[in-house]
Amino acid sequence: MRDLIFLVAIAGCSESAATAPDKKPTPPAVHSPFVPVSPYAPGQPDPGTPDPTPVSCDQSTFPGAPITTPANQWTWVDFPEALCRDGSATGIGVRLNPKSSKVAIYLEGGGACFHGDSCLINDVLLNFGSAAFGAWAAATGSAGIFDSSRSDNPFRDWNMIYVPYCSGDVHAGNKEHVDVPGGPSDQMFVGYRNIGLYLERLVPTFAGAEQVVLTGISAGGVGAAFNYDRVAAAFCRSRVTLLDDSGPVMADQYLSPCLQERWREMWNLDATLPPDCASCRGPDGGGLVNFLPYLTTKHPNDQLGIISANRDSIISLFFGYGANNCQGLSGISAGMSGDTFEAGLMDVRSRFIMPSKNWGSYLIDSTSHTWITALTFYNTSVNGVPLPQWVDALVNQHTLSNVAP
Amino acid sequence: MTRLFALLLLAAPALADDTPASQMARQHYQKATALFNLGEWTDAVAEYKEAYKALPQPVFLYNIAQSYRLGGDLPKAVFFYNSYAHNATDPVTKHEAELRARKLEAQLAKGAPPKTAETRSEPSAEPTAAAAPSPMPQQAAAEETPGPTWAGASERLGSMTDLIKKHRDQFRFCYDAWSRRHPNLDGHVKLVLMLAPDGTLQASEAHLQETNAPELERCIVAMSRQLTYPPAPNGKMTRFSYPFEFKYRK
Repeated sequence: MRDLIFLVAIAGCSESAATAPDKKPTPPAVHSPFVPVSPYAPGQPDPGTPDPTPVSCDQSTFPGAPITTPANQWTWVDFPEALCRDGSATGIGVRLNPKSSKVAIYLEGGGACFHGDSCLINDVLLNFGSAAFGAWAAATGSAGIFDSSRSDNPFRDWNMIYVPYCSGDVHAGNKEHVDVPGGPSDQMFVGYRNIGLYLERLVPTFAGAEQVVLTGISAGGVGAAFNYDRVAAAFCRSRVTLLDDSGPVMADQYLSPCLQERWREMWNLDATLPPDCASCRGPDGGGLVNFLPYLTTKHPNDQLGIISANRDSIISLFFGYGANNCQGLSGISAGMSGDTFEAGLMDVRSRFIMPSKNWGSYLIDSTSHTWITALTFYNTSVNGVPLPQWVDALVNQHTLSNVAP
Repeated sequence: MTRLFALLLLAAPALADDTPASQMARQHYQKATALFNLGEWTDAVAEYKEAYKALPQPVFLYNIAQSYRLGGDLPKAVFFYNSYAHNATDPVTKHEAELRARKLEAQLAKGAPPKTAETRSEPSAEPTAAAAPSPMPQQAAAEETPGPTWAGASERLGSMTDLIKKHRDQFRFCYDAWSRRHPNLDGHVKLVLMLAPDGTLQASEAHLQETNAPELERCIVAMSRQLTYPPAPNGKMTRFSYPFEFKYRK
């Protein structure tokens, strides 16, 4: 029931975004994340104060308590109702900077679980709690975009949110007790629902944020794109930006409809896709690529960026399960060659990204996978454009470009 | 060094007919394999036994042995390896089962506690010294195994090494994901593949040197199943080992 209410609520807000493209021009002067500035937020003396944002931007539907943790240090926040696919509880990590009015929500990646072998590969992230987060924070928590000591980090003084990945569903599922063919049984694919639970507290915490960047790597990159519409609606007072690292989608010609259908079935994607993206639900199971033009149209004033290797060997592996009518789901994967992956990526780039005014892309001549959470973020440059510079332009200067080898 | 092995099971026997016994065996087999993949060895054993009772195919005995071995019950693993070898018609896997039984017996004779994970000596990079314990080799090795059916295949070494290197990022993916909760641990992982002459992957094992990480080993094994391996130029079976040395990515 809560999810239903939530969906109805964000649908109303999103609609206004589509019809009022000049929303979010002047976010309220903000702000400590500890002091909600929404006139609807608890503790505000005058709820009747005129709101510069559209009336339909109602953040009161996010009833959670604002998150208050020590400043500038990673802290784990339990969400007892948020579940990993093994049924264990999980949560998020936060590093708050009261002096910043910007927040990056990072979605972790790590494969996906939709048949025997893919679930085995994803087993390394079967659950995630405070202990695992402590290990992550001690090492990766200060690497790549989380490195607050580097002047060339576009996110160096931002509020940072770490959303772990243990749901096996690219943060997009809402289906319980699933028996995976040839794989584990009783799996909780509830990553989409988890994001909703996190938003219940993140929105009150950052209600008046100047900017929100939704980002992620690999499955988290897919999840960031998948959840973008609802996150943009939830933070309807803020400028919202998408940064998808290594989580591309492709046309049905490359990403087989039968594989998309498996994902829909395993994770109940048809229920979690935005209701107003009819073309995302092809009759043969395909159509997920239509999410790209959907975002273009729905969020014309937002900046949406994608980073990818042109021959990403990991995404090729997962897309390859769909080759030869999904032969890989029941036997040996035929795989997807680097050439085919590149063709699929270029197809998306030429048809959906390049023609749009609100998409940018950064392609790297490589087979490697993910770029923003390690030193590679600072060591990567394409055609004289360092990756941090491209990201900085996207998230801080709000300018888009398409960089390719 | 104690290591858990993640090893491929023998494939289900041909159960194409639709007899009730065949259907029941298939159901138990599928359930058992899922349990095996989850590392629930005791339950996997029970299901494989039910499959065998429904349809007494020797491959179930092998899988029971594998489950017992991975669960640390070495005496029962020996019993079922021998039982399989006694009943098997495939000379390759028959020989493999005999080898495994002998190794475990030797291990037990040395006083290995009955409820521990398997220990195992490393194969040498030298083709003729497969049985001799040695440090983890720093380069790939395609090697002879004792016995006539796992004969040498050094001709395969170059192409196999190239193949693994080409797909190194995929194996690295497992380590990267695992290392998020085990930071600063380098990953010395040895992948051992057993290949039929036509390139079919018969079995796959992964061993992490530093610590006990069955989930990482399962991931590596699952990755190894995604590759297409070249046939052997000499038409022989090959045991191929490849040492990965993953460094924690700063």
